[in-house]
Amino acid sequence: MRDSRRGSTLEPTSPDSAAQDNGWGQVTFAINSILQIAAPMLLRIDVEGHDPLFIDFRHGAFVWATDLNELPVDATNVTFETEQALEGAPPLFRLPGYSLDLLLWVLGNNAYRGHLAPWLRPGERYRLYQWPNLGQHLHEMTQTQMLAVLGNGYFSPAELAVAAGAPVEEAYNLINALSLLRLLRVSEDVAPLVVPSAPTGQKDKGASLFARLRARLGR
Amino acid sequence: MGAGMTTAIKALSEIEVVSTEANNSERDVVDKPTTTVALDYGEIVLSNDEKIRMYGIPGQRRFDFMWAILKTRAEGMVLLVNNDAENPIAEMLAFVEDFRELCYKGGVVVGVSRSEIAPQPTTGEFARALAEVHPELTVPIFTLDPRSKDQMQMALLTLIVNLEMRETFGEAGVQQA
Repeated sequence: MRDSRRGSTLEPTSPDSAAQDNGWGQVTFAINSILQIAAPMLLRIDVEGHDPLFIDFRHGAFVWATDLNELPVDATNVTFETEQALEGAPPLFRLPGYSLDLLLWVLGNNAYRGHLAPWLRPGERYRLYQWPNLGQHLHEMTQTQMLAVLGNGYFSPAELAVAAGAPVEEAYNLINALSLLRLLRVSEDVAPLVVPSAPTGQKDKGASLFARLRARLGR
Repeated sequence: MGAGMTTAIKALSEIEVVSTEANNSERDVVDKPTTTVALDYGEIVLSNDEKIRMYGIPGQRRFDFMWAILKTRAEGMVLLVNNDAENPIAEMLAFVEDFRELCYKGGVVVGVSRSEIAPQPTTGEFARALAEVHPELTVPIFTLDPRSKDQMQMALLTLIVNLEMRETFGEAGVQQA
């Protein structure tokens, strides 16, 4: 890519630099910036100690030798090289590669370590308009529960955490991932939902069926 | 048809699944010698007096008399769609229309099977097609392998938590939107 195509350096800036100190925040911010402009871009990301990560946004695909399930805790010495793909230019790598959604899910859930991603604003509420394909994402049942909450109303991360009985850090992580995946509606104006203290409104019946089945299945 | 309904019930059930099969009269649709008709039945026992009963019913329209029973009795449905079929999105939309009430109370999860053989359409394309017809519906749509106990449990748990959250927040959420 560096030899045959015009390269440039992408240097994302973020208002929440503290949340990006593991390096993955930088990477995630850069990817989100490109997704926002919806341009036919090619991106190469180099992280020290790893083979380069290539993304071809035209095809919503990436390749990386590193297993996403073994994402290093820190990304050090990160560099970016980006360019716009010429019309009709061949794919950056042999397709199909991997679905970019896989990378977005992992980065969104890990990059900001329990803080709101820098492109999201405090005061916003979020509502799911499309479920992520949980069949392809490693996930916890708490996340499923939060998704079900988000599918039924607008919630701030703090409200979401209360409604699903989850730590607020996990709510932030999930919101970040869903935002990266473009699966959220965002509103600053909508009024808050009244959140019952027991998520399923079944205080009088004891644990919800979900909780009982989850326990029964050991999940 | 051919989405893996019998296999899915077997993956989930804690008892020996009761299955009834008969000759496949639609070999042009799915080329297998038998196909499930009438019913599969399985259970998950939660306690001495509580169990989850699972009924697998066929998707062919000639069995729609059974759907009527499901519509009135079932709490929820995992709709398995064979992605290798001729028009899986149209099939999903037809079922959503038929089970409209169940969908609107949060009682449907769509499981797209055989996506390893037929990766298109994607779950996103399913969701967008559904949103065009029912923009107010947010239905969980996943790829899954009906043979996988883990994935079928995921679908079942998602169905149940979605039902419960709809019951808790649904009306207020609709007004909020």
